[in-house]
Amino acid sequence: MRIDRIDIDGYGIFHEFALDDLSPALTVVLGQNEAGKTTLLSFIRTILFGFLDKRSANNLYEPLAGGNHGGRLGLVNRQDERFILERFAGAKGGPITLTLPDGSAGGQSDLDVLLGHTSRDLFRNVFAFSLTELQDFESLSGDDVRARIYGAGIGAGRLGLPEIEKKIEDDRGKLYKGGGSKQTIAGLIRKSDEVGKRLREIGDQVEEHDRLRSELETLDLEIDANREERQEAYADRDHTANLLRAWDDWTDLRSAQEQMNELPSVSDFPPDGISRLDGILQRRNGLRDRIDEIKGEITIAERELQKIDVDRDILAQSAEIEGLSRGLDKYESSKKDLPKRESELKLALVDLQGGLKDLGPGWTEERVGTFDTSVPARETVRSHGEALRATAERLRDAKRDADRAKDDRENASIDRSRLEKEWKALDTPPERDRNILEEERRKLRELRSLVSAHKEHRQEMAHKEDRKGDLEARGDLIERQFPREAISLPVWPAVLAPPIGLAAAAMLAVLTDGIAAPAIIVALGAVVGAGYLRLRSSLTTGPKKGAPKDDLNAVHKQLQRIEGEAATLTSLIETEDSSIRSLALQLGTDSSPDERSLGVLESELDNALESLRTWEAAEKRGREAAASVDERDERMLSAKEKENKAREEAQHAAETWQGWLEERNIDTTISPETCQDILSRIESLREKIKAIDNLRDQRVGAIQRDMEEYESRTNAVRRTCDIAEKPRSEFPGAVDQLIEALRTASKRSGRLQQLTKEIDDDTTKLTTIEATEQSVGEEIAALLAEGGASDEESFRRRADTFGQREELLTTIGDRRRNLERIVGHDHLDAFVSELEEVSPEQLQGDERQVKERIEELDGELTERTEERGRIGEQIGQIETEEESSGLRMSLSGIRERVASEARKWAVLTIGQALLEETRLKYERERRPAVMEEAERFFSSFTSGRYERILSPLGENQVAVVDRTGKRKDTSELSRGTMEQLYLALRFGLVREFARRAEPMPVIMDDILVNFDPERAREACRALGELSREQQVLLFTCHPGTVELMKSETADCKIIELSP
Amino acid sequence: MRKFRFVHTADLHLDSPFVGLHEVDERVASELREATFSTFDRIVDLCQEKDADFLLVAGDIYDSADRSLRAQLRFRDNLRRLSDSGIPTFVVYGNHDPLNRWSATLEWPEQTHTFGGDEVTSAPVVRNGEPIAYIYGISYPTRDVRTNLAKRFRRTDDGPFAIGLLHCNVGDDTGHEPYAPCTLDDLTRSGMDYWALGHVHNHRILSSKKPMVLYPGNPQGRSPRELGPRGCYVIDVDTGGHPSAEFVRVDTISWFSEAVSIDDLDTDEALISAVEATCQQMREQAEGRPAIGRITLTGRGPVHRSLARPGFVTELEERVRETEGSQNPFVWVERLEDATGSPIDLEQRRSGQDFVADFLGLVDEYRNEPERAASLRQHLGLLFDAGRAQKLLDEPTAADLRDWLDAAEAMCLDLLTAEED
Repeated sequence: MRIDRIDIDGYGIFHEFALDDLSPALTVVLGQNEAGKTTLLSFIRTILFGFLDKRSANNLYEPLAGGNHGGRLGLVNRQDERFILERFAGAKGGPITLTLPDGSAGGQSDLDVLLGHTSRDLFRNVFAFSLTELQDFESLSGDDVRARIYGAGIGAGRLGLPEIEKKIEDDRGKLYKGGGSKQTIAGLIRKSDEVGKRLREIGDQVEEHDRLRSELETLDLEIDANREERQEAYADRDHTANLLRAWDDWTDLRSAQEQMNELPSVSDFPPDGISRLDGILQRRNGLRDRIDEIKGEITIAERELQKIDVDRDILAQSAEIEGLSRGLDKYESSKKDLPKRESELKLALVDLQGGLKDLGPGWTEERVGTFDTSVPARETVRSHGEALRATAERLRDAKRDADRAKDDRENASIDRSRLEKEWKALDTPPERDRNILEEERRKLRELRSLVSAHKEHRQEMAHKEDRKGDLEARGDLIERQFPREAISLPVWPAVLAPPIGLAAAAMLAVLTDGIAAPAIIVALGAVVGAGYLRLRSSLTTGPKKGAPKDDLNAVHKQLQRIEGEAATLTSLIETEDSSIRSLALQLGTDSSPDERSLGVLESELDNALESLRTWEAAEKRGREAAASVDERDERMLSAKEKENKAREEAQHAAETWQGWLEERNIDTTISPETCQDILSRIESLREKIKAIDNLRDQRVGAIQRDMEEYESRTNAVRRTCDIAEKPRSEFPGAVDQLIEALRTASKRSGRLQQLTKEIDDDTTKLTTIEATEQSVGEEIAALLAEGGASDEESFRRRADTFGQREELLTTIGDRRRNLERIVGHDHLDAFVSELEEVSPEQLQGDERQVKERIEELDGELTERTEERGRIGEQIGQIETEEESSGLRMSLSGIRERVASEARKWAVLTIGQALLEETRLKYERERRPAVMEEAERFFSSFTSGRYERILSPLGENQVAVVDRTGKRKDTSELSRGTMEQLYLALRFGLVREFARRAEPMPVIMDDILVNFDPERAREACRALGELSREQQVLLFTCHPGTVELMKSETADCKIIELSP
Repeated sequence: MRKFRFVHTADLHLDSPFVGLHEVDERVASELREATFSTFDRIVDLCQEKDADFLLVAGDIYDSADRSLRAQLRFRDNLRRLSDSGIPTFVVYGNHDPLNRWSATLEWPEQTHTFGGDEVTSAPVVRNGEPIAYIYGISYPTRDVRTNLAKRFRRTDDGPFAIGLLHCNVGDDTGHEPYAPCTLDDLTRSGMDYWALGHVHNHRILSSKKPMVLYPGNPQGRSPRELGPRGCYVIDVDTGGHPSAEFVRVDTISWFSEAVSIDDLDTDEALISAVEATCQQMREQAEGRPAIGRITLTGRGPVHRSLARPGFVTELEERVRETEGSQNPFVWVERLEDATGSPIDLEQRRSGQDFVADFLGLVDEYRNEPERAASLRQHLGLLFDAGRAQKLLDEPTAADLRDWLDAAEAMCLDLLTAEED
């Protein structure tokens, strides 16, 4: 298969790009860097094998310059049948359109046959490669080199075979290695062992359950026996404890009964006899003490009463003295206040005098009191002030307006003289009537269009003459020759004629600003076009084979029409001639003027019109300036008048104000504002005078009156009580003396009354107490009689004996009740007889023994109950145990995962084995032929320096043998030689594949860069040889390579790509 | 005669673990642990709801290998429930729970009749003082019973209806171990009216004429091989002594195994949607039960590239578990298996002249010659013959090897044709 044409619709930088002269043998495509060589290589791969997945990281060469993403390739197979393969980007590599040699549409299977079932990867690795791949080669190790050599042929994708094998081995190793412990499967096995171990620990539940149940039954029997025995021991222990508990009560009872028997008999005695006797005796003693005490008190009071003396005069004046005492504070503060008020009055008077002086001379208290400061007076002052301000303002404005009008008038006068000067400087134009000039110009334009149309009509006339000649010749030919050929004329002149006419008219219209002449040209264009069409149709459809006479007639008819049209033209030309002459005469120019002289004339006319326009404008401006000066003069005079009027008004306002001031006897120089101030001061002085009057009469006078009244009241009291009167200087001491005397008299009078009352009360109390003491003596005698005693001492003895008996009876009753509580009433007698038989020591021994036995039994019971609980718990655990369910489930899960991981491992292992087997087969079957071809190429590249390539089966080595039989490893070869070796191997593969299937085109991108001139020449020769068998495309950016290629191969096609 | 009704179940396998499950989260695990119990609870409920006259249990109640006491106790507790409501239960033991592997101290409820292992015995079912049926049965005394027990059944009563209760393997194509092997003919000759069998896990009716013979199957599937609805049979015997069988679904968790083809899927999103749609479909078919499903991705298409990325399948699996496993009822995707291929034209690659073509040719040779396929086993000794692994792994079958060969082919092809320009 070869490519004979490339059509790119849109791909990378290419848009609507085509290469259609590819050689079937060798084509060199020369292009600078970035001219698109790599893009072209990718385009060929894409159209042949499909677009790459959008998700891949590769350059997809989106159409940068526009167009649909994709294009076409022309393909030719070995049988020289041609196919067209078209592909545009789309789903699944982009849909293809394959046109088969017979024009029908083919499908993917046809394409596969055409491509000899070559895969994309194989194509990339073997048939289409670049310098980069040759250079990569150098940096690889020996193993890698070998892999690359064979890898090129395996048709694999991104990964080389060794990389694939390594990846599989790694993945496999992660899952399982014979001895390892970290791998997934080993880990799972370990886990399984752990779970299994735990399950075994949990053990056989059923067996364990049954065993525990029978143990439980045995224990239950033992526990019952234990409990029975313990019950008996408890009874023994309780009885012994009762005897011990009763022992103290029993001994007390016995000794109480013995003491009772020894006491004399006192059967009756008043209850609480002794305490009652003691109580009565105590009361009698208390009463006697109280009588002595009251008598003493009465004596002391009578003694004090005789000593007290009271002043009755002072007491009689007590109301008046208390009144004086209340007024004392007020009197003292008045006495302190008086001098302050007097000095205040003095200061106010001085201040008033100062205020009068400030108003100016001639101002007194009276004048201030009577001066008019009313609101109307103030209002009058204010209106005078406003009148003065307003008139002054108006005067200022009028003066400013007058100045401004004067300036305006002076500026206008300057403008007028300048513009008059400019106008006078211009020349007066010769012709000052614009209409005459414009009429001349219109005529001139008409003349120009006529001249131009006239010229064209003459040419048209000449053309018609030619056509006439042709038709006459044609008529002769038809008459001479039979049969005659159909004549055909192209249609385009007819189509073009009207638009050309239109275009010419438009141009003329622009140039001459006229209508008549262009219209004629449009009409003419249309006529000529139509005529031409008729002629053409008569020529193409008219004469036919077998009808020569008809043809001849048609020619004659044509001739007649053209002659008619020529006559019309002639008369048109004549009319134009006469119009031109007439117009030329009017304009005073040559009777047959040419276009150039008409142009000159027109420009002269335009100049005359322009200078007339300029002169008229200057004249108008001068006149306008003169009128402006007059207007401003008037304005200036009016402003001056206004100013004088304002001045008079201001004068009048000032005089009115001065008159008002004189009337009131005020200085005439002051302003209304100052006058307002004076009025305010007068008002404030009036307030001060009012305050001074108030101070003088109300305050100082009142204080002095109050003080005198108080002093006279005091001296009146003193007189009455016979005490000397006092002057003001001894006040307030005189009052204090009276108050002290009153306080002493009052105190003494109160004490006198109190003592009299105390003596009366004590005398009454004494009588009552003495009666009570008498009745208590009688009570004592009655009590002694009741206790059967004659005196106090025997009463007390009898009381003691009775008390002892009562106490013993109580003890005996208590102890018997205690014993009954311990053993019960029914068993009391037996219990008491038992107590008489034993001793406490004996009982304590018994108790110790029985307690020890109980402890022993308790221990056994606890132990067995606990054991029972433990077993119950174990049974419960076993019965409710769920761990083993979980463990079994997890064991099952692990087993499953092991199976699943083992499957992965098995798949990897089998894959590895299959790849290995395929590789061995491949190397065995394909390599010899490849090597043979490769050796030939390599030997030729190196001019016979190296003769053989060694790559023994199963050895990871490639070596070469040189002319002398010396073997060299690839590591010993130079970079260039390595590349040559690689190229040779590639060519070997190409040849090998070509032998087996449809040969594919070989496409290489700049591979000869590192070849020395001699080897490059050899390589070019080899390429030539290769191209005899299959198409070769060599991309290069070196013109040198092109030259070399040209010189080394006979038919080499060169295509230059421009960037 | 009087008409009556009974329930027939077998192969409860109480408390035995689910097999074929990789990993489950704790919530799912606890549901699984309870599943066999819940299923039996439901059978007991069914007896009560249907007002059954008795229940028949035809062996393999629990797996003695598991030594689970819990299973025995829960079984007894449920029988007590039946006994208390006046429904007797007739039990024979099978190969998984032979007589000698039951707890000696277990106290069976009053209305429970278990058959001994020495000889076939019979027991009447009495209603209103009259026998309505006689049950004949024999248990496995030990696990390994290879004799034909069916031949020992001889009808001796003259009652209205006789039932044979036996755990056995009828015929030789059941896919189960041939314990107590017998033929349908052996059963027919015994004179029984109905054979209540156990052992085979897929429910099937072997004969619907007299005698009616059927396997109820296991009421709860426990592995990816035990798919579809599972349950027990409710048998109605009419006055003429004719039994009719109704299958009632009682499983707690449903198993599924579904395939999703990636042929028409262009994006990862489409793949996720397809997987989720499959889960939804399982959920619907499970009719309100939790479901456990295995999803196998098949076919060839562009998403194969994503699937081949390390970790992608695991991530997808986790994602689906997260969304589907957290719902109620859950769908637990126990495994998402990738059996897809890259979207390459195999035929074209086969006709090529390169290494890939040679490789494909070689695989075809293995595939077409069973002996060569079997020879692949020799490469696997490192793992499959290793002592510790051997305990956990089954010996690969021919089918396994074929499957692995296909997978190896797909894997190598992926690597060999990894795309690049």
